[in-house]
Amino acid sequence: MIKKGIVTIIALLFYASGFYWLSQDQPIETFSATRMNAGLLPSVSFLKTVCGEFTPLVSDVFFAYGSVLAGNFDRSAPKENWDYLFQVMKLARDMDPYFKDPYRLVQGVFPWIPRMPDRTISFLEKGLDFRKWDSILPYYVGFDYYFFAGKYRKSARYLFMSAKIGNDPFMGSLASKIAYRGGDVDTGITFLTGVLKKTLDENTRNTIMMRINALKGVKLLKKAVNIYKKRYGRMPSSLEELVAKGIIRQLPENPYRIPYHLEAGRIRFD
Amino acid sequence: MRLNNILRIALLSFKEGLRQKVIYGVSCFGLIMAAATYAFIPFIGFDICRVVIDFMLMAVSAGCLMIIFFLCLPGLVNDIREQTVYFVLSSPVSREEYILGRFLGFSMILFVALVILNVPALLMVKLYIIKYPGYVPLHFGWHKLLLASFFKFYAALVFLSFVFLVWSIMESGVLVSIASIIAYLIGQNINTVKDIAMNSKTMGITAKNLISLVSWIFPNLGYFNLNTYAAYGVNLPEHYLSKIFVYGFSYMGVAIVITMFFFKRRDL
Repeated sequence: MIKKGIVTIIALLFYASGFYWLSQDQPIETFSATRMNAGLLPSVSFLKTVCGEFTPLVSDVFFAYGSVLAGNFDRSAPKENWDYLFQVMKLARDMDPYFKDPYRLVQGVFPWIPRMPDRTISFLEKGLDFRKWDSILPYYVGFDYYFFAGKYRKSARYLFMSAKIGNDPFMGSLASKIAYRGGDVDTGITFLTGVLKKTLDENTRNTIMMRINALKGVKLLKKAVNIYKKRYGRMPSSLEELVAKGIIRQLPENPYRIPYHLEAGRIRFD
Repeated sequence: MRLNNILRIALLSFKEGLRQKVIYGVSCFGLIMAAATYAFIPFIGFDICRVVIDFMLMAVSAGCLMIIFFLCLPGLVNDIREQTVYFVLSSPVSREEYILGRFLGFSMILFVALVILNVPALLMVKLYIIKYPGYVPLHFGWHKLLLASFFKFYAALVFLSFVFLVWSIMESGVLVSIASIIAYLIGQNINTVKDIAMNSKTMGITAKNLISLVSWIFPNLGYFNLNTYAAYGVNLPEHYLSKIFVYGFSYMGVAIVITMFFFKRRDL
């Protein structure tokens, strides 16, 4: 009896020390820096063949795994890791293309942190064939085309689609503005303010707010440049001239931390 | 064939399941799945109700499959190996009645499992619908969910009929198990494989015909997978449900008739 007790205690101690050792193996702080290989992930066709009717469940598991990874990656994570995460999300999407969460996660992470808007757009576009009732997906695609790619016509096309699905007159008028006016500053501010209203994530809100503030600065400077052009019949050689000639008291502060400047007749802020 | 004999064997099979504590096992599995759903939900951001529905339907599928593999299949194999079939057949019961009775009895166990598994699962779905009303899929309907769940059970019956057929041909329990697992995997994926094959430009006509033939022999279980219909309310093609019901019923009929044919000629 005593012998059995001793053996049990030793076994438990072994288990506890092994568990402790394993938990010390990979601290969370270095998780982001550990290089991951997307090539090691299984293919969709293999998983579909093996999982049969349980594919939606496998999609859930891949999504959960991906969201844990995304939560632990920071801006310093190597490109391989973002590729790996993207592949995990693709698996989650392809195992159940109706599942909303992978689209949300990809839109919330990939265009912003690793700066992969093109891949995000192609990821989201596949979902449009399945989630035909969802106005958010075309809205995201429209936003990405507008904000990251600067393709206003394409942006307008998807925003129209979103307006049609969601029966949203605001979105419809915005899409038409973008389509016909080629994305001027006012439209940009209106559009981004609309996006801001629908965004809950604090980091994304901050990024959008920065862009809105930058565009507000551009709007102010555009007005001043027009006054300058009317008064002197030419473009100012630099924005500082607007201050020197007393049209504005000082240059607005650019949230992107580089001074506003003129480049080929256009006011640049990034 | 006498109906009384069939019902008597069905009841015996059902009682055999009860004796093996299948009710407890299934109840525990249902509760474990409910707990697993509860533990998994924090990882999900938006499609919460869809994930709960997935878990529920998975529980029904997995529960039915476990009953087939751990109760029905060993039961059939042991009837021959342990010679219990002689006791039944020595009484005035024909081999056809024995097959039908066994099939009916196992179907009753599967139905009870369906009911038991649905209770915690439906409660979980209801709980999450109350807790997260904003995340209920747009076209969700309880009738769709119940139909999807019923067709999981129906698919299990179709698969069970195939297990009977394999058992009537093969003597070894291991072989029957392996053949059943392969049939299950083929049955779940035959639609995808067939689509790929038929659209392939490189695949020869012989291979295409072979795949087409396989799709006729093995039960096409993919037809009964209505997860997307239940979770998102996606429209089904016209008369789809009646078509798969008829397909399943005729498949079971043919498989059981062939089983009877082989079992009658089997040297016991």
